[in-house]
Amino acid sequence: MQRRKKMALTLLTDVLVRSNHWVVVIDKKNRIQYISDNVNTGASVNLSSLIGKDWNTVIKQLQGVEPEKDNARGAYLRKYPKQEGGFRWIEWKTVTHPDYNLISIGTDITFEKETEEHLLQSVLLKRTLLDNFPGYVVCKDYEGRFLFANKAIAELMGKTAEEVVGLTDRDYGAEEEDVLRYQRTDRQVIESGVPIFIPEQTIRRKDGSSGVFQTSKFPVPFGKDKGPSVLVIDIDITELKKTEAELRRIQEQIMYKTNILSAIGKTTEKLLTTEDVPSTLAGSFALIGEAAQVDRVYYFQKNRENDLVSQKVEWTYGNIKPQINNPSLQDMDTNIFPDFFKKLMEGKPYIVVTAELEEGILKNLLEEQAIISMLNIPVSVNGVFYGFIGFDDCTKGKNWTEDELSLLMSLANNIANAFERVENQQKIVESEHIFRQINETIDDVFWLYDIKNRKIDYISPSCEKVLGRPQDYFYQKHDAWLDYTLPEDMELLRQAHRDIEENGYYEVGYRILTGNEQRWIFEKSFAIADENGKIIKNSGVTSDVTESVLKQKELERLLDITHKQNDRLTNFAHIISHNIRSHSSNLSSLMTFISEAKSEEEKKMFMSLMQKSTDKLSETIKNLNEIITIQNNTALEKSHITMRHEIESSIDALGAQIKNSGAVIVNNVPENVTINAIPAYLESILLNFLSNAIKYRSPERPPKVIFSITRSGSFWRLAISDNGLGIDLEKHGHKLFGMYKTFHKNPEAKGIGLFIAKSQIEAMGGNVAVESNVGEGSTFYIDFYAEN
Amino acid sequence: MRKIKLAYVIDDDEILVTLVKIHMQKNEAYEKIETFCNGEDALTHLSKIMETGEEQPDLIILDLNMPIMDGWQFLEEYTLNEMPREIPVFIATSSIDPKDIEKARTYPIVKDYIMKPIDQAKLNRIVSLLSDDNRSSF
Repeated sequence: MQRRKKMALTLLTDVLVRSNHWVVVIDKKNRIQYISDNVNTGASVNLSSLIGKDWNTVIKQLQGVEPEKDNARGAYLRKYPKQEGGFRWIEWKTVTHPDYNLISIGTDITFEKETEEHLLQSVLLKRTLLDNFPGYVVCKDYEGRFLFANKAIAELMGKTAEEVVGLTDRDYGAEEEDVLRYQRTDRQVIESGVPIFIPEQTIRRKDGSSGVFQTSKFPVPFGKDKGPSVLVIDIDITELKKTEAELRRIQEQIMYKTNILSAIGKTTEKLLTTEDVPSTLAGSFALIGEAAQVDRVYYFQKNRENDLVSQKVEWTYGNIKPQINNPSLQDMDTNIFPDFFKKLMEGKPYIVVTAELEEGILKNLLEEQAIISMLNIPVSVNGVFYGFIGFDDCTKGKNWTEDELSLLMSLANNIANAFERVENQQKIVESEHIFRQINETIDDVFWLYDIKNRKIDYISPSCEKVLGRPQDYFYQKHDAWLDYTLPEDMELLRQAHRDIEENGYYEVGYRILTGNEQRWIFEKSFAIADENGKIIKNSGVTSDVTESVLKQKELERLLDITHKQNDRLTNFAHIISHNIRSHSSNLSSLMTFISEAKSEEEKKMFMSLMQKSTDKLSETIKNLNEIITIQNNTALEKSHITMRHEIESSIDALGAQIKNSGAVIVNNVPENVTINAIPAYLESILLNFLSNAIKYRSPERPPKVIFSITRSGSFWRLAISDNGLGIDLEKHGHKLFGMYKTFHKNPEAKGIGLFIAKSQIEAMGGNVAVESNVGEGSTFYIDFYAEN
Repeated sequence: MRKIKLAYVIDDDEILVTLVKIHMQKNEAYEKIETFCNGEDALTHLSKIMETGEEQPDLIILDLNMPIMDGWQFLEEYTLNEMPREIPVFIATSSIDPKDIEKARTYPIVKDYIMKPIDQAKLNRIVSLLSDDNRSSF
C-alpha cells in the first residue's frame, strides 16, 4: 500500500517536473523528503544535500537571507533572487497529504511577472517617450498613488522621477477639492475600463497659481502588483487660452472705439441741422451711452441769469434708476460744488471715482445715485459755460482712457457749436462750416463728402497724419483715395461707396500706402439726405488701426501656432492611447488566457503570442519616441548641405536594394544647389522616399527614380518621381502622411515612414506634397529652405 | 438567447483576432467566425456572397485603424451596397478620440462602439443588443 502510494507520488512528481513545475515534499517533521531537480534552475543549490533538512533551511538557501518562518499554506507567491540578477517568481500551491506534512508545487511565473513589470516600468511607460512628451503624464493606482510619473511632473514637485513614486496629487499642492475631483474620474476610468477625455479644466496649485489643461485618462489594465491603474495625460493649454483672450480683447477694443466714433458722428450730423439742441441730444444719448458702455448719459444746463444748473436730458441703461426727476439735480448752485464747477468752467473734464472723494455733499450726492465713477465734460460757447454732459458708471468701475476722453470732448465741442448756431439764428447753409469747427485735435479723420459734385467739403487736419496727405490735397483732387489705396483693396471701397447710396451706411477696412509704408485703415460713414430724402452727402470717420491690426495679426499667428501645437499634442495623446492601448489590451487578455490555460501546449501558444505582442509594443513605442523627439527638438542645428551629394550618399546606402530591384536612379540635381537643413533629418527623409519608391515599384517595369530640383521663392523644391504603383490620392490622399496608414498590400508596409518624414520636413520649416496616378507612378515634392 | 450563426471580424491585428476567436469559441451564443484583415477584403467577400447567395453574417465587428481600407471607408462603401438583410456593425477600437465616437453615431448601421479588449462580457453585450434589436446609447 505504502509502496503504491510512493509510486503514485513519484509518478505525480515526474509529471509535474516535466511540465516545468517545482515540486517539494515535506514530511510530518517538516523535513524535506523530495525536491525536484528543476528547482536548481532557479537557485544555485546542491539539492541532494537538502534532503532531510528543515524546509526553512531551503528557503534560506533560495532567498539568500534568513526567512521568516515560512509555514504558509494554500496558494502564495514568493520571489527568489536569480544568479544573473532580478528575481524568479514562484507561485506555490500546497496540498496536504495523509503521509506527509505537505506537498508543495511551485509554478514559475517569472515570465508573466517580468512582462508585467517590464510593461509598466520600461515598455508601456518608457521613460524617454514620456519625458520627451511636453505635458504631464502620470500613472495612478486606485488609491491615487503614483506608480509612475514623467519628468514634467517630477519637476513640478521638485523631485526626481523615482522619488515621486508612491506620492499622490496632494503632494504637488493640489487643492483637496480638486484632488477628490481627479480621484472621482480616475476611479471611474479604472472601474469602467473606458477612457475619459476632458477638453478643458483648470488645475489649481496650492501656491495660488493655476493653469488650463486638456486631460485624457486611459485605463491601464494591469498595474504593478496593485491591480488596474489609470494613465493621465495633461496638456497645458494655458498660453493658448491667454492668447485667445487677448485676441478677443483687442477685437473688442477696436469695435468699442469705432462704435463710439460712429455714435458721435451720427449725433454730430443731427446737430448740424437741428433747431433744438436738447431734443437732439435726447434722441442721441442712447446711441452714445450704449457705444461707450456707460449707465447714464445726461446734459445739464446752466441758467444764463444765475448760478443755478439743472439736468435737462438723461438716458439710462437697462434697470439703472433714472435721475431726471431727482430734485437735488435741479437748480444746483454752482457755489455749493466749487471744485467740480471750477474745473468745468475752466473748460476741463472732471473725472471722479466716488469712493476716492472726500466725505461731503458731492460724495453724498453721487452715492445717492449709486455712481461708481463719473466723467463730466463742459459745453462752452466762446468761453461762456453753458452746461456739461456727463457719463455715469454704476456697475463696473470704468476707467476712462485718453482716447475716450478726446472723443467725448469732441462731442461736447460739437454740442457747443450747435448751440452757437441756433442762438445766432444762423441759417443751415453750409454744414461744412460747422464741420470745420469740430475738435481738430482728434487723431481720427472726420470728413464730409459731396456726392453730387464728387468733392470733399471738409476733411480734418489729421488726414495728414492718417492718410499721409494734407487737407489741400483732398480739396483739390477728385477721388484722392485712388492715389493711396492698395489696388487689391479698391473694390472694397467701391462697394462701400455703392452701399452709401443704397443703404445710407458703410463700414470698411482697407489698406493704404503712405511713402513705402502700408497702413491699415478703418472707415465708417453715413449718408446725409436733403429735405426730399435724397442722399446728397456723406460724412465719416477714418481711423488708422495699423497698430491694432498688426497686433491682432501677430496674435492670430500665435494662436494658429499654439492651436497647431495643441492639435499635435492632442493627436499624439490619442495616438499614444490608441497604439499602446491596442497592444496592452491584447496583453491583458493574453495574461488571463495564460492563467486559465488548460494544457502546456495552449499556454505555449499564448506565450508566443505574448512575445509577439510585446515586440510590437516595443516597436510602436520606439516609433512614437522618434516622432515626439522630432516634434520637440529645437536643439538640432541646421547647416548648409549640398543636395546632390546627399542624394548620392542615400543611393549608395540603398545600393543592395537598388541592385536587387534593377532600379535606375537619376540624380538631376545640379552640383551648386545647397539647402539649409538638419543633416540627420535630410538623410532620413531621402532614404525614406527613395526606399519607398523602390518598395512600391510596379511589377510591370523596372523601377526608375528621378531627383530634380527647382527654386521657388526662399525654398528649393526637390521633386522625387518614380514609375511605381502610384497611389489613389482621391481615396488615400488625406491620410497619406498619417500614422500607421498603409495603402498597398505589401507586408513590409508599416505606415510610419511618411509620417516621420513629414514631421522631419515640417520641423525644418518645409512642406511636402504629392502628385500621383495609379499604375503610373508618384512624384513627391519637398520644400527646403535655401537660406537660414 | 439568440445565436450568432456567423460573425465577421474585420481587424488587421492578428493577435486580437486570435483572442476574439478563442473568446467566441468559449461563448455558446457564437457559432462560426470569419476574419478579414482589412475593409477591402471584407467588402469583396460580401459582394461575392451576395451573388452566390451564401450565408450572410449576423454581425460585423469592425476595427477603425486598418491598412488599405480603414473602418470608416468600409462603412462608407458598405452603406452604399444594398444587402438583402441589414447586417449590424459593432465598432471595436482602442481609439478614445471623441471625434471617432461622434462620427460612429452618424451611421445608423453601427449598433455600438466597443472599447478593446473584447472579452466575454462584451461579446454577451453584443448578443443582448441584437436580441433587443436596440442600439446602444454610446
